[in-house]
Amino acid sequence: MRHHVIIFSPDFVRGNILVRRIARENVEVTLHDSLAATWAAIQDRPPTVVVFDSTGSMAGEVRSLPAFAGRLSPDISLLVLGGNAQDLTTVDCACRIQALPGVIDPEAIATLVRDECARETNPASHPPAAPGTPKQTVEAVNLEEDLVAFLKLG
Amino acid sequence: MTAQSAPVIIGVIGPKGGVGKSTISANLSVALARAGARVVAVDLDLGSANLNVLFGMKSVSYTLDDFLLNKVQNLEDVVSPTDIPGLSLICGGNVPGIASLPYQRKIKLLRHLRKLPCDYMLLDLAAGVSNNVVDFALVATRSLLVTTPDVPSLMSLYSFLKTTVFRRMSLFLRQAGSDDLLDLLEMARDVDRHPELKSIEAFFDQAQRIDPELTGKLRRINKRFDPLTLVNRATPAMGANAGITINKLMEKFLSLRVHDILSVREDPAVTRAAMKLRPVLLDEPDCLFAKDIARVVDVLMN
Repeated sequence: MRHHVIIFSPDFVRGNILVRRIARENVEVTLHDSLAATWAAIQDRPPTVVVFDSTGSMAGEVRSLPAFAGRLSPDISLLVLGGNAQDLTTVDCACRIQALPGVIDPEAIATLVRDECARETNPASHPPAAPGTPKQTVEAVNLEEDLVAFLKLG
Repeated sequence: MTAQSAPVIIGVIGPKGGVGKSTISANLSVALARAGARVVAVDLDLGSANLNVLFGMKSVSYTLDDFLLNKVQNLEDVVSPTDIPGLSLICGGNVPGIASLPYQRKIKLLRHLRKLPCDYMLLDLAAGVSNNVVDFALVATRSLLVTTPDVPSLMSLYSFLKTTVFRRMSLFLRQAGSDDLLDLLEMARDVDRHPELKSIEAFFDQAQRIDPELTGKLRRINKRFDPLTLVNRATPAMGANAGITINKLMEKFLSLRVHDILSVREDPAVTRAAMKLRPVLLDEPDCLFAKDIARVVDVLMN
């Protein structure tokens, strides 16, 4: 069965650029321009990847991102695009989050989607969850901890 | 832009050696020249220069050494044209000891660099955090900090930023003759003995009690240092993570303005071009690296 990717982008043009590029990865892609419709689509058929385009989103939509991420199940990957992606280091959630701040790059996003679908196809590639710890999977956190320790900033 | 206007000086800085700084410099120069700008790339990796190698230029009439050692009078005399329209190169030399540039020669060089007739000047700076590198970075219109997404490179990047912030404030306070604030700044350098001053904001808070007016100026000076960070040889996820992390540390501990991180992907085309001694933009203009460099140029030009 083909993997399913759901894109939330309030920008019709950007959203459709992403749809066209990601569809070339042999996955099924749907685009939604509201969070309510996106959430309904996720519940209707849980995807492998959700792409959240925060550029152009309204402030309320961006503020709801942590809650949105918190409702996603552990087997869904969330890719957050745009400048607001940088605010995600403290999100406590079960799903795997990756942030792509900066200018939107369809090639890079498609590569990430492909990687995530490959991970999902091969469950052995999933890192084991640590029982009893917060399910925070933003990789920047570990890097930050290392840097803070080595630079004696803690 | 006219020939009379001062060039936009872009300092390309790679505090950790081997992060691809010269490759980025060479290819950015090519991309800017191809966009129609007059570009001079200056190899300021004094004592260990090799920017010319990336262009396959095996011999040049004069190098920067000839200017610094007063063998030629004008900096323009050591500017070598390349076969890329609009792009010239000032090749660095390798005279032993040239890296320890005396202050007066550094000032002379900076003065002459500013007068070169071009639109963009790329300074390919040496690795490390020596005063020479920091001072060239401080005169640049834009500082482009090149790193890879690993911990040692990011540590070097942070150390460079911290050194630069401290040097800038130290130079200002010396000029202002504020011994009290200089003493406080010295204390802030030693995080082990003064952990209460480990962030610039904590330093500002204490400085405010000593001299509110100078502290206000220091804050403004610090805000003017506005570097861009480029994560090289990164997958999108690794680049984003490194960017999030370094931005957070820059804001939290150095009170610096942060920007979206620029990311350049690992691409075997770079190695292939290096083997041929040619910038990859000339050799494989449609490769991933070239696309990422085009985005960097877009940011720098706008």
